[in-house]
Amino acid sequence: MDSVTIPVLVDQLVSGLAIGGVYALVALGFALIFGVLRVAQFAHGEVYMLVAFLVLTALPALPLGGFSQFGLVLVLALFLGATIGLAVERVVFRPLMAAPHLAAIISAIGLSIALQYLAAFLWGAELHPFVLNWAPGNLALGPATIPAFKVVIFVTALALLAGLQLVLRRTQLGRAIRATASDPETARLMGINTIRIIAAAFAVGSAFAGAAGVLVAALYGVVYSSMGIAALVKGYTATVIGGVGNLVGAVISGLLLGVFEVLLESYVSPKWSDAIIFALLIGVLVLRPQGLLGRAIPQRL
Amino acid sequence: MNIVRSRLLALVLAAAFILVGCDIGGLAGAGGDQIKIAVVGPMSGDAATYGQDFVRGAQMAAEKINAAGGVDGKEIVIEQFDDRNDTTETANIAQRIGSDSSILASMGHFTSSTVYAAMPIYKANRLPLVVISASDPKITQQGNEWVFRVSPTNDLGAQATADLLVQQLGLTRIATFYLNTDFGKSEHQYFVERVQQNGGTIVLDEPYQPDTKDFTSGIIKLKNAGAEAVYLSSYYNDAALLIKQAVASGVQTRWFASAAIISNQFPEVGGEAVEGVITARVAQGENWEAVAAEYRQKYGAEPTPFVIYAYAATQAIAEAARQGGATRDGIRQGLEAIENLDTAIGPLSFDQNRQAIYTEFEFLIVQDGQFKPWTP
Amino acid sequence: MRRWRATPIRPGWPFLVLAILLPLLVQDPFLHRLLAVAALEAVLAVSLNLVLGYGGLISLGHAGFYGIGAYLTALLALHLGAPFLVTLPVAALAAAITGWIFARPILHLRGHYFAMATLALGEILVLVAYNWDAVTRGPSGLPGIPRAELFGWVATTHRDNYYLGLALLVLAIVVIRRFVDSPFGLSLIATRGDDQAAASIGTDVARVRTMAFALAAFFAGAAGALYAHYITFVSVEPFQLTHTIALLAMVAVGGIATIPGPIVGAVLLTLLPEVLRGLADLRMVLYGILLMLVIWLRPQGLLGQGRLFAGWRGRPPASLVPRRVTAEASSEERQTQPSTREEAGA
Repeated sequence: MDSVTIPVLVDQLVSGLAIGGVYALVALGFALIFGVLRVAQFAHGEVYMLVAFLVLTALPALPLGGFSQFGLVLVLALFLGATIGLAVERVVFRPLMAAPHLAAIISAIGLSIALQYLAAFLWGAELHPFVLNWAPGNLALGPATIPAFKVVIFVTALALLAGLQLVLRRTQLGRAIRATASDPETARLMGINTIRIIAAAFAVGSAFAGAAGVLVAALYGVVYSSMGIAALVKGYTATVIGGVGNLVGAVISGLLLGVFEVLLESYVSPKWSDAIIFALLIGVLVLRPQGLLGRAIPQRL
Repeated sequence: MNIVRSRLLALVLAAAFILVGCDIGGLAGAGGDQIKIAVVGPMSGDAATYGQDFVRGAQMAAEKINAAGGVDGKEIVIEQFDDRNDTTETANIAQRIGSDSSILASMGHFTSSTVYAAMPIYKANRLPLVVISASDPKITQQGNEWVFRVSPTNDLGAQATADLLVQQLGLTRIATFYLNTDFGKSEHQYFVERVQQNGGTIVLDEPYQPDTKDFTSGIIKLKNAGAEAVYLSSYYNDAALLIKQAVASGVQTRWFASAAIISNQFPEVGGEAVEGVITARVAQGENWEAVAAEYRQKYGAEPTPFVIYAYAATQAIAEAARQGGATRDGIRQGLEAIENLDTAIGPLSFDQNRQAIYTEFEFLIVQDGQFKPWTP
Repeated sequence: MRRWRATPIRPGWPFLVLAILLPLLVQDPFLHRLLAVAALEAVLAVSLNLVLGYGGLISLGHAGFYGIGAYLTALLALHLGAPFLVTLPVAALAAAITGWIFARPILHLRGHYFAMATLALGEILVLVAYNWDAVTRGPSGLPGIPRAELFGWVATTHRDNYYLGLALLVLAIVVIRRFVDSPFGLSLIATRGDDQAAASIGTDVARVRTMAFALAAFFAGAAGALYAHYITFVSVEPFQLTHTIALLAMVAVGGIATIPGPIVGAVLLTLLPEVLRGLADLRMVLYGILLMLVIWLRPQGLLGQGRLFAGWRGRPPASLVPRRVTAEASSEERQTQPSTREEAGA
């Protein structure tokens, strides 16, 4: 094994933060929906996947240069994600609001299966190349060279998070969302149209999933119908580690997850890195059940 | 349990069984004038191209043979099965095929892993299997007399490439990546041994799991390994992704890979990054070219080698049925007796392990999105 | 305090007779294969339901115990030549012990945290099986496992293995039914609603949950042993999260917290992909849609309590989500609570 040098470490860190940024976006969307609806959106990964496919299909119609194409693609992804999210909420989740939680989860699972295989049917089950016109090349950061695109992904994720925080803290909509997440009954009694708020949260959360989908497609260069499952597991994991209901926690966990993954793969073992991460997850849950940043819940047993 | 629920339950179960019963009625037995051959492979999922080529190759051969009168008047019928490139599904499918007495021979199972999963089941059912892609040499060294192989083993191509790199191109610092499966591990081992025999050095030895899409950590190691060339024991998807991601990360080196990358998907997924990738494969004679031309005309695309192997396997099974009789045992015996049979791969002979004998290799390079012949 | 009395399995007799006779009346081996698979899935679903339906705990690692049973059976049979009568109990016990050891530190976790921990466990088990090449041969799997043999009789055909599976299913039903009706079971159900209240009347919440978890794992492991001897090949695919999710669907479709519910769910969801096979590529799309449809029409599951098409509403109720309560802590507990009128069992 080569010695650990600064350039190598920087390279790894940047790579970890890039994929971590994707995980953070997925987790953020998942956590937002979960916070408001209290149900795990098991089809979240499929929103991510569908948006990536739809954007891929639209790419030939967007023959713009470098950065403009990227910006447009991002906006398109957010828009498509929000639309799909609204549809999912209206068709799958809203009719099951009074039903047991498990019913909504299973319904989402059904949707997830249907969407995955629909994508395979429409576009084909093989890997599809995803290439943007933007090739920002490599940056020199001291002694290290890092791919600029990875930095872009990280920055985009942070920007979207910052934007969300702004909305949540400074706008009426944001306040309404936070109120509904914290206490839906009281929120309703205070005159908040919780049904609309839930839809809004779904739209925003799914928009982020869509953005994550195109970012990861550009990062790895491929889109494929089963890409949503891994995203869901990572998003769910990051949400729980961060503390259910805590959006900043979800983002930080997502980033940490990405970095840990790369470091474990490089220095411990590429085969065992996932298993180690899951073991660490169990450790976190056992020692700090409310997650890293979640509110402490009194343990009774 | 109350009345409503038990009635509902009875209704539901009855409906389920009626539905399944109707569906099952569709399974017909085969007539005695047919020689049914099962072609198994990934018919869905991201390796579906291979399965499709298996079927196409077999069907092209079957049509030709049937047009010339079949096997003593009997028609060859190809029935396809999807093993989804999944070892568990393979075991299920193999059992299903094994217990269908109208099927007299089977060919396929794309990977070495799926072949290993299926082998004991074919033996238990006394059904001959002709391997047309899986390349781990040990498959035919297990002493299972029901398993034959018409495609080449991976040691030959790996060794030919190792010789090319060290002896002819003078590249001695070589990095390797390999798929952590029977195929990848086996091919990698032969490559490494030969390189070291030739005096070269392996500077990086990276296994990766199937389904890996993110090669970041391996690529970072590669950047710092100081390699003059990289050899991939991979399939087309992972090889294309790895190379694409490496090039995007700034890696500059010469890329070589196993013959499994030869497909239309490789240049498609890899794009510009895979221009210049070199691979070794068995030399193709006139028969091969003839079948390839037929395929091109019929399907408007380049055939993968597996079309040819499936074609040859069908020819071999037909001949075996002619010689040994149209039964499972007869076909097995007939296959063993084959000597210099004129097939799509040229003259086919099996060695004492029922492995087809290959002697010559040639190289291909990716140019303008296609595989073209190349000499050093 | 209710006296413990054994509840006879009266309503089940006609179905049991049908289950025994069906493969004798219909000779098609394809049907026999489906029945064999359905029997194993039913054992898994019924055992999952103990934790999920009666215990109110979302377990996302159930298929992992199936895997422990299967892999251990494979290794014992291949390396030590262990017969079925040894592999079956060893596999089941190993899975149960793993369940027990794992349950202890995590059972104070709420809802989604518990689910996450079980998901992590399941994934770790699969990853170990996938990566520990030296023992499990990694992605290549373990082929050549001998068939189950019982006192000279070898389970060679699909039908033989179906009967083995059916026997295990009957055993599982009897044992789980007894457990549910016993004081332990009643305590378990009490903890499902509100474990703080249950603890306040003296219920040892930790103990009953651990028992349920271990018992469920026991039957999953036993099913794994049957699987290994039936398919004669073991590799990681059937033990992954996707299978656990399919099991969740079976339980939900059939009706949680009922004994026959998961069985109905297992049979239907095993037969469904086969019935749809003719549709080739759209098969699984339709499967997903049907899943959604069934849950939409009957969110309580096919055998759950409630009106026939309880989900058929024009619009959501005016008061939003009555199942959610104010405090975040206890809201996590109400993960799988069926409607309040739901009884403890069938």
